[in-house]
Amino acid sequence: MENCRMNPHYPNQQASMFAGVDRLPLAMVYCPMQKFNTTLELGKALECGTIFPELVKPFLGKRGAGR
Amino acid sequence: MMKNQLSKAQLLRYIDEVSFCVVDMTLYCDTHPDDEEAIAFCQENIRLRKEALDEYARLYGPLTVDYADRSSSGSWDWVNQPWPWEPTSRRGGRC
Repeated sequence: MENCRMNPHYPNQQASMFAGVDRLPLAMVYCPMQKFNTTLELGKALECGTIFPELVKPFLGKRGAGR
Repeated sequence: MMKNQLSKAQLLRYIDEVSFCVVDMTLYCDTHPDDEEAIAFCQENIRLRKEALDEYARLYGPLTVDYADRSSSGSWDWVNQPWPWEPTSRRGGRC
């Protein structure tokens, strides 16, 4: 079974999410607004800790290491 | 009802899953109160959760006091059944 450590790829986010960022004022904090799209199957969502596939962000680092 | 083929443990697992979905969708709707599609999805899962809690109460006893009126035994099953955190056997009975 596919597990939460597999980080899904979202090309629609990757390509466009940084467009226009260089025109924004400096020293401000920005958070992109989430859009409702697909949702995970309920059992998988409980295991992953989110119903939203784009928010599956498994922690892959190790103690004392960057990655 | 569609959940009636599930075992006690499976039905409880489904209640955990659909409850988590409702919690997460609540967070989303808090920040997107006009997102009709998300609200509809949330409401549908609230309905499914209530249905599952009702089914569980009817078959095995209430998980919350909101469903304590589902018993047909005539006694106050709420206090007599095992608490959710009490150990049960593999078949779902009391140890």
